[in-house]
Amino acid sequence: MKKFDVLYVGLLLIGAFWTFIVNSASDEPIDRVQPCDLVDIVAQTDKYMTTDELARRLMSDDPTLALIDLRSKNEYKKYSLEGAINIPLENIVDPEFEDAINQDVQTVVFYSNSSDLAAKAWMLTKRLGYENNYILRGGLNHWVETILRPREPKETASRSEFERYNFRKAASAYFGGGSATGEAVATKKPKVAIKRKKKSAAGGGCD
Amino acid sequence: MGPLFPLGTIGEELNLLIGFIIGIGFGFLLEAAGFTNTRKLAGVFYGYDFVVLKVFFAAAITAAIGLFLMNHYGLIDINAVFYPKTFWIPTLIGGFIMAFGFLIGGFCPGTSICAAVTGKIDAMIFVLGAIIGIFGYAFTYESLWEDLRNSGKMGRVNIAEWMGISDGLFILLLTIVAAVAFFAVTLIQKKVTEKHDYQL
Repeated sequence: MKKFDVLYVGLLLIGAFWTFIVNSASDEPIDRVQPCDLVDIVAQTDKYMTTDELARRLMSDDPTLALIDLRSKNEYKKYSLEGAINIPLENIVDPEFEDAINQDVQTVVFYSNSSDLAAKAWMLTKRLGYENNYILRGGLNHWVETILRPREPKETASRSEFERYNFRKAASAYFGGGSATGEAVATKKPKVAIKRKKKSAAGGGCD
Repeated sequence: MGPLFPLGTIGEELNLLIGFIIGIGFGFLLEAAGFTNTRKLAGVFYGYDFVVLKVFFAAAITAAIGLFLMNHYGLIDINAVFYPKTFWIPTLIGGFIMAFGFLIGGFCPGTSICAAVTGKIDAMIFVLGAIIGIFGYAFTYESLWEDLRNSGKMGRVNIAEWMGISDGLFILLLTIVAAVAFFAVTLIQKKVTEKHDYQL
């Protein structure tokens, strides 16, 4: 064999060992969220959206808002927020819902009855590197408590609390609260997720 | 970042232009390496010249290592790279036909075009035969070949996955096999050329 052949075979062997080492060192591609970064992400405090904020945006018909109901189909049918898309938590990583939860156009808000499922969904999607996802603080229960049936603050409460109460009272009227008997309020059709431009299928070869 | 065309980083025109430039480079190097000489390709079968085998093997491994590392370091999205489906029966038959073509004609499709351009008459006839074959296949595809073409369907298979080992381990094993093969064919070549007096 010529010198060049030996050199090239040597280079290939080095490359192959390199490949083998990086492959066994981590099975995850480098652009996935790494565990050390995840700790910082979890410590983030702006992952919540309050019920007041949500009510404000719903009332102003904010088109960038996408609500994701994480409960089961039956619960969703019984009662949910207007325009919500139902994605049960176990289906959250299904490819058919990827367009709905992985996007930078809309603000995605997860909720269930409390915020447990939403926190799980938020964690899963964050791990996948999705942005713009939020947890509804307190979930639907808190929504009913604060927005649909707001409680009047004590007379000694601060002015800002009264202002908030007034806002909630108005919101309650808007959302048909006060008489929240569990009947379906979801009159609007669920929003259709904005489809992102799909990566064109890899063409080429003779296929 | 990559692949450039499937992800829409570059448009159709630039894609064709890059293909054109790479094509010229490919043809130039084929000629420079002597692959337009029919004896070079046939030499693999007679055992007096293994350059073609070395080039094919080295190219495959270079591409495998390069793609793997580029994917690992986020330079290329391997999922967007074209990946053909496997139909093992037609592939096997086609492989045999290709091998006989190599042996009888002394060209592979790429080198035949290069050789034809350099003025070799046998290469021109080879290219003509290939064109007749292409049109013959295309016009009789539905009546004769469709069932054969779709037989032995395996979908998108990855040999490492099929063997149950990681991609990195498979590339390493393949490289070791190639390195051993390189040394082995060098020995064979030495023996054969000593016995006979082949001339390119």
